[in-house]
Amino acid sequence: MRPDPGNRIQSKPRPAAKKQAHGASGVRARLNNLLAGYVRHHKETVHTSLARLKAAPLQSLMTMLVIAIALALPASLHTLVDNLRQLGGEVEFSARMTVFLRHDASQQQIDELLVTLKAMEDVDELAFVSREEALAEFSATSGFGDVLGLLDENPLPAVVLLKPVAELGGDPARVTTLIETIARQPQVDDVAIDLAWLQRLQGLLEVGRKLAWALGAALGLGVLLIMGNTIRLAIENRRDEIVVVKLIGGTNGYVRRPFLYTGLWYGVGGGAMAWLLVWLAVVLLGGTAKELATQYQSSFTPTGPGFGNLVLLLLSGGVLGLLGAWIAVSQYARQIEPE
Amino acid sequence: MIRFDSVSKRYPGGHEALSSLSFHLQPGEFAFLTGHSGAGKSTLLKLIMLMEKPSQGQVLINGKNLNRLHHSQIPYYRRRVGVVFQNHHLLFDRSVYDNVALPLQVSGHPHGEIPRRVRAALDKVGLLDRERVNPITLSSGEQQRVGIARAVVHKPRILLADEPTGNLDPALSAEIMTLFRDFNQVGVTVLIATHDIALIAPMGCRELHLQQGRLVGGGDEA
Repeated sequence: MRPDPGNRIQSKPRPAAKKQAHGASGVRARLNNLLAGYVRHHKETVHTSLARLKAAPLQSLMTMLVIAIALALPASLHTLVDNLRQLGGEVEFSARMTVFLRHDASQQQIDELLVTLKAMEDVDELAFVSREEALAEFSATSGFGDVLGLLDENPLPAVVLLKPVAELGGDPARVTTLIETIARQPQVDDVAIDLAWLQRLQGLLEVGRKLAWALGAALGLGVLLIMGNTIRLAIENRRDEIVVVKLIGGTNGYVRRPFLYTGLWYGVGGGAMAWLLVWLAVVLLGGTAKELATQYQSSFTPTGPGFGNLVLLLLSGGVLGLLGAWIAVSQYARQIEPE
Repeated sequence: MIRFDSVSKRYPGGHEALSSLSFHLQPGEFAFLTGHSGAGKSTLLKLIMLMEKPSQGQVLINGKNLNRLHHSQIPYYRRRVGVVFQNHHLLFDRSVYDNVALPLQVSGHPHGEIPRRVRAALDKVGLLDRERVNPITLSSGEQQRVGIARAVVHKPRILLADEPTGNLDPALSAEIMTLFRDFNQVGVTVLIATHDIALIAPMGCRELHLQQGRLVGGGDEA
């Protein structure tokens, strides 16, 4: 019974048979049609929302820059902590572990131990100092050589000086494991390493890392608010359009979509710019830091925000932008109803 | 097609815009809605568009009770109704073509079909050669015709118009009415709110006359 008023307003008659589908295939065709329409609107929205950003480049860039600064602060703190950890690791393992051997260990047992230690993958280099060598060195350097001469027996143990591989820097757990493994060897009396200051540095770095996250959370909230406000203004600017779209049967989803994409672009753009800011800071400050490190005989070179950080910044920017836009849209766009 | 069943609309504050209104428009009917401003014409159209809900009674469109329509279903319902507004509600940030294409885009029409349909609608209202211009550069008569093209481009079964000739001179108004007539002749149910008695008298159509929210002429018995 449905009349087809369109016949009169069409220049050419429509081939009716082609459009009419029946039964399951008809339902499928209509579903496909719906899905195609949905996908198409997404594509169009991507295109038009980007075009809108381009139409007001200065405003878009400024919004992104605000987001970028908010994201760059925790990101640079994170990069700083990473660099300090690397520096800490390097300094730590210029020092060595000292493995004291038991007095009763035979030469054969000592040789076996040296082979075992050399085979450990966390051990880089080692040097054996026999009891006699230790005594000679002590006499020469301590000035107590005469006193030692009074003793019946050489009180000094044989020692293995051990240099762990550089990767152990910044990983106290692995250092502890290595120490425990070595200490379990039957020939070994004790293992000495000054872990206290390393642990203190690790603790400090942990505080820095947590601070970076806390700062990130607080500034992330800031990004949400900025985004919400920006999108609210965008919604206000397009109030007429929203009213018309709702009047002609646009769903809330249809109205929401362009703003969500706008939020997403702002966030992703802000994330990318934040990465650039941190990278720029490392490039600008890195030279000075390297010079300083050279004066302390360190080969430390500051590393910039890596690819992982870029992904993290893009992702968090995108999520925050989308979320902020979502909050604004669900709050304001719903309120705009035709009157 | 459009049935009002003792519909009343009372706004917060106590003003009763419509009281106990009942009538039935058959499918394919052409009717005018007349009355002084404030008589309830716009309220009646808003009830059909689901921009307002009745305080009492029910509105049935094609047998469906609008009171029972879920909020999420409203957009899909509105796609089946075309509306022409007095202030035409055109968007001045895009071309005539894009304005008319909007209902098709909103309802996710197949891409290939859109240009053909838009041009057919523009052709019908005589503005095919203006599709690329911004509607702000058009005269108010032309803008109204763009509004009409947009209202019919998705082939609604019901066409509503709120004072479509409000700002137009008599000759243009007659032209617009002829357009509505043409749509009606292909089966569209048309309801036009107007206070322009001189214009509708010669058309000899049904006239629902409202006075202070009450139907005083053109009811089903009349």
